[in-house]
Amino acid sequence: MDLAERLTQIGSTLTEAERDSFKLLLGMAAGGLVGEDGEPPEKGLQAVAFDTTLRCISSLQPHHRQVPSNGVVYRGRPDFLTDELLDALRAEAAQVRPQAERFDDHYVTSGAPLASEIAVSSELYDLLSAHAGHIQATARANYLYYDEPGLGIDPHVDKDTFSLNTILMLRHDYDSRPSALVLYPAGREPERVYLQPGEMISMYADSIAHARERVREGESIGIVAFGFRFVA
Amino acid sequence: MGDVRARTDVELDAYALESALPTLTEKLRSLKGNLNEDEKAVFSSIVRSAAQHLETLQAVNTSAEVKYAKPISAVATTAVRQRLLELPSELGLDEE
Repeated sequence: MDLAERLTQIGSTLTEAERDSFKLLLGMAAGGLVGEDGEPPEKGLQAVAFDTTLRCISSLQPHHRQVPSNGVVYRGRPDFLTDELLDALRAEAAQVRPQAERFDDHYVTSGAPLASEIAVSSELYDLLSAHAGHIQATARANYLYYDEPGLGIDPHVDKDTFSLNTILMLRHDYDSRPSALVLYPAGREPERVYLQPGEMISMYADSIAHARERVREGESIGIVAFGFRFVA
Repeated sequence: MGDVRARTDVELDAYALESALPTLTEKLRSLKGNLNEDEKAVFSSIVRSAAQHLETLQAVNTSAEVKYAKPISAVATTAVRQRLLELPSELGLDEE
């Protein structure tokens, strides 16, 4: 049994709160082990540590067998997302931007009315449950803003309320090269995802390390994230 | 839009998370005691990288005067962060 398997085995003995803290530890380790360019270490002790960390993250949750290798259960533009609804979400995101609080390297606002309504809507639930099975809305809705050069999120994993994190790209303005959402599947090369405005991705964010690349000069991103979780 | 029944009581509170860290630390200490030298080096790299990364974020946060209130993250309180910063030392990994 190698170290990743032993750590995963430890994980199966943890309480929910211990597992949440262990997951945080592993997420922070992933963030610390990647280079400034977001690339994993290629060789040596750090490469082994990074691989071990990702493998443990991917196997830690009780529902890990439900999780695709890259964590993604859905990507596309939902039928219910009309141009009018997308515009309304953009307008709400802009309206609540002044209340956003900085957290690490990005800005967040929670619980805006329209986003909260969509977070518990049957339209979104039906779409996601068709792809992910038994899920539960957690009624969490966050607007996230990466609208200054250098903002982003290093590799991390999400907590239980966003275990199935569903991200809708509202706007992405850039001058030359866009930054990406980066997924770090265990045992594979990182995947860079470039969401178009109106495009949604739903992924098991508690079981795959993921990051938002630092935005560049002239770049600005606004997203809304809806919280769901798998239920056995 | 139609509503579904959401479950909003799923989030562990800060006290539960903070209370879990001592017992988690004990379990990791027990694991460490059963690792060979190669495994211990990898384990040490994981734990110390996490602490170093948290320290980097702390520095960013201090300069930016951020608030630790973001609902999306498991890193909910400064106490949790502090315990993870101290974990290499608590596990005897900071000198390796």
